[in-house]
Amino acid sequence: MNATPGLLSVQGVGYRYEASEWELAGLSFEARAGEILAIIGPNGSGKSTLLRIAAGILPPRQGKVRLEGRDMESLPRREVARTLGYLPQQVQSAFDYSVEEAVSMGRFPHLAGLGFLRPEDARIVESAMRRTETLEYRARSLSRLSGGERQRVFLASVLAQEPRVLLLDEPTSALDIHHQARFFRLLRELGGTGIAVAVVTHDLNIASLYCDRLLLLSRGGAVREGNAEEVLRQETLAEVYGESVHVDRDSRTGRPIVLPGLPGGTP
Amino acid sequence: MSAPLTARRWTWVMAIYAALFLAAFLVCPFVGREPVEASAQIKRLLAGHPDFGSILLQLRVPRVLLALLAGGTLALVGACFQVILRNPLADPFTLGITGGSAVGAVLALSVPGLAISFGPFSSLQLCSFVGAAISLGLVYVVARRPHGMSMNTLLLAGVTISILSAGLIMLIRYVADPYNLISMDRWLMGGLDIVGYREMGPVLPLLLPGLALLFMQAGPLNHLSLGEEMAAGHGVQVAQVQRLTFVGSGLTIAAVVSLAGPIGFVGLIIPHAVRRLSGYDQRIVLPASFLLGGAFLALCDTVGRTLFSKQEIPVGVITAIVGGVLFIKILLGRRR
Repeated sequence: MNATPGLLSVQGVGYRYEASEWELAGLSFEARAGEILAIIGPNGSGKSTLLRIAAGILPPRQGKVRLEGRDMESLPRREVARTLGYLPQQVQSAFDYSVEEAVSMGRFPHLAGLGFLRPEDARIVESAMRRTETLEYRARSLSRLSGGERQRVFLASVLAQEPRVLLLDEPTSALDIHHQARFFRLLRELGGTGIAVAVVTHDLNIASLYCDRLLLLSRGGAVREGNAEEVLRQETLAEVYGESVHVDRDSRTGRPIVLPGLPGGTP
Repeated sequence: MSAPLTARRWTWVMAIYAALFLAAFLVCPFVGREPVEASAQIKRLLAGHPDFGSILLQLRVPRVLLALLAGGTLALVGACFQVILRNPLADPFTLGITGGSAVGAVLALSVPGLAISFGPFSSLQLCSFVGAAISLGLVYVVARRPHGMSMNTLLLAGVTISILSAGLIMLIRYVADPYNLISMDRWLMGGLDIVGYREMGPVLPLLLPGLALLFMQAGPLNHLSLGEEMAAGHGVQVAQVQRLTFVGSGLTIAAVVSLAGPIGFVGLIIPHAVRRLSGYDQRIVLPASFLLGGAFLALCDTVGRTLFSKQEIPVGVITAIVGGVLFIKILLGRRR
């Protein structure tokens, strides 16, 4: 798997917000076909900023982002969107579109003129709704959905772009444990079709169970990159999150799981 | 309205709004205090009568045309601002353009030295243009960011400019010759009482490209209502769409206000009405707002012209009253 060239390659990118000390310094990662990369780290470690840069939403102050070998900054936004799908952390619609209207907006980069759907676009939209289990309420309006349902609708709109690279910013933060598991199983399925996925998440256990590689950030820099075994170590996590984490093992998979520490240390 | 927009539905919906627009154009010129019967007019036309249509063609038709263009522009720009500012209360005057042009107009009416005309433009028109340009430039400079514009700052800057302009207008009025106050008040009410086509011609080179620019943003604006990041993710060039919308709105509103003054409420209420009637897809909302806004203003002006037999009521007064009542009705409807 490691021999596959990165569909998306982020090379030494740096960023600094105006009037802020905080800095993202020289970060690199590759999103490879068929692989799920989890970007993890404490609040304020730069996960979302890194993902925005990788998606071409935020131009980096240093470094380069290459999409299928081409410099992202030289590509028109529409062309980027045909290859790369990006789901921001929170999507709030100013208007009450229907589910199907919202999902079909994902076809935008493929359509010219006024952007009416062709029959094949309608099929792609429908399949995106089926995959995300939003097909049954396609006619409902966004305001009548729960937070989790809405999240799946916007994922469907991103899938309707037919991306080969998928970047997701905390996609399951509004979902219950059942839908979280389903969501990540869907990501695995997508990975199986050769899509490269990078997902920012706070949930270290989800990252351990479902992701192939983990990139741990702290204070705008990379701490460690590797599989769950290599990254989710007691001493590494204690260094990043403080002493209040405890690493155990999932009895079914043998993968590391991370639990909060107990008051006064482990008995 | 739940299914994605098809070319067929778009055509149908547009045909209905266009029919309203056309009906306003065909009917409104024949309504007025001076009776102008269509059949009599046609007879005169066929007979080659020299008096043919002097009221109709020189007064009523240009006035209705102006109403259609002005109302359409106000409603279209309101619809655009409500999307890019993500604020349903935004209207064409939110960015302070009107404030600036009002200062220009009031200055032109009070300082005799400014009574110079330039080419086809009157001094009033010219000054209101310059005022609009200054306020737009100011708002732009304040809201500009390295990569695009900040919509929050845009909103705040617009509101600030409006307040500043109101202050300047009060100052000018305070020191102005009382004789001029009436014409200032009259301008500030907004009205469509032009004579002939002469005044309209010079603004068309600004108005028409501006309108085209705005209509072209309809598709991308759908995505902007999901937020800037989601829009960019879908492949929309967010900064460019915001900039073009800003430029298009500035050109068209400056043009309209220089002719008709600040006519309120059309830009707020018409997009709301269209969204209630025809859904949220901006590819419908934008052109339909233009067509319905034009028809609405032409109707309001016709009412203003004919309500009282002795005196015309400025159309701005009618839209504010009718619009206000309708808007409260819409808001009450939303409680359900």
